[in-house]
Amino acid sequence: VPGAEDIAGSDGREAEERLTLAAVGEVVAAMPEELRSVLVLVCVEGLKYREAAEVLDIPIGTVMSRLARARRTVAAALDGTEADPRAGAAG
Amino acid sequence: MSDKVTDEMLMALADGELDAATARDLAARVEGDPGLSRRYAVFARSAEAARAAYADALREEPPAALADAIRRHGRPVARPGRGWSDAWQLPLAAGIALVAGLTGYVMRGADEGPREAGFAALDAAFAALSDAPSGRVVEIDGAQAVVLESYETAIGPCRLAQMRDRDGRGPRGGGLPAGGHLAGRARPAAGRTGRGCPGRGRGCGARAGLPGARGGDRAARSRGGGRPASARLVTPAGLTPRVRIGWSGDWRTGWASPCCGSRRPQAAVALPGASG
Repeated sequence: VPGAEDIAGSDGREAEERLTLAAVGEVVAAMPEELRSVLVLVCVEGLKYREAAEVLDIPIGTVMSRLARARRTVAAALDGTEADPRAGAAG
Repeated sequence: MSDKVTDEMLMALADGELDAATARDLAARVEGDPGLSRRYAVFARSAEAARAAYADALREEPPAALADAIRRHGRPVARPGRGWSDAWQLPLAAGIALVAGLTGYVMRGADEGPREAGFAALDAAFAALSDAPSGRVVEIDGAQAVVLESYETAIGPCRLAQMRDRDGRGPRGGGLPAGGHLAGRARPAAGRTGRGCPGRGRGCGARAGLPGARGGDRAARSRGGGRPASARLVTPAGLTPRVRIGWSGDWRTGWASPCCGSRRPQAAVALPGASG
C-alpha cells in the first residue's frame, strides 16, 4: 500500500511510545499511595532504598516489597497486560 | 548467595543497590538463565518507563500548560529570569500547591518548638504566599519567602518558592516534624549549592549489558554529596506532593510536585529583587 511505510514509520513508533508512556502514567496514578510514593522516590527522584525508607519512615524491606509490586505493575502496563495496581498493596 | 533469587534481589540488581560482589554473582546468573533474565527485565524496563512517564507528564519546557492556565485566569504570562515582568499573578487556590519552600519554614519550627508548631507555621505560610505574585519577597514571621514560578502538574498547579531566615541560617539536621501531616528528615550537606535536582536520573537504572538494559549503567554513577532534604506533606487540598529543599547561598529553595524529579530547578536561582 503506498504510504503504508510512512504511516508505520518513525511518527507511528513515536506515537506508540507516547501511548505506552501515557498508559504507564495512568497505571502509576491509579496505584495506592504507598506504592506510588515508593516508586516516585526511587525511580523518579533517584533515592536509594535506604533513603526512601527514611523519608517514608518505613523499613527498607517494606520499601523493596512495595517497589517490586509497583514495578511489576508498570511492567504489565508496558506489556499491555492487565494488572491490578491495588494487588498486594499492603506491606 | 542463596539459590533462590527473589524479585527483590533482581530489582536491587537493576537499581544498583547490591554490593559489588553480590551484584557480580547475580548478574552472571541472570545472564546465564533465560528465566531470570525475563524477570530481571521486568525491573530494568519498569524503572526507565516510570521515570519517562513522569518526565513526559511534566515537561521541563515549555510550560504551555501553565501559560494556558494563566491565560484562563486573564493574567499576563511572565517567566522569571527571562526578562518578563515580575508578576506571575496566578491566583491559585490557596493551599493547592503552595508547599514549595515552606518546608524550610516548618523545619525552623521543628527546631524551636513542638511538632505542632510546624503545622501552624505551615498554615501561616500558606496563607501569606497564596496570593503573592511571583518575584515578590514576602515577610513571614521572621522569614523571607519569594515565589519563583508557577506551573501545572498532573495533579494541579504548583508553585516554586524560596525561603530563608532573616539571619540566613540554613536548615538544621535532626528531623522534620513527623506525624500525620509531615514526614521526612532534613539532612543538609555542607557545601552543597542547591543547584540541579540531584535525584534526577539516578537510582533506578538498568545495568548495561543485561537483558532489558536501557540507558546504560546509570546506577553506577557517582552519588555525589548530600541531597536536598526531603519531606512529604499533605496540603490542605489533600494532595501529597513531594517537597524538596535545596540550598543556594543562604536561600533555601523548595519545589513541590509529584513529579519534581523531572523538573529542573533552574528557577531556583534567585530572582532580581529576591536577594534582599
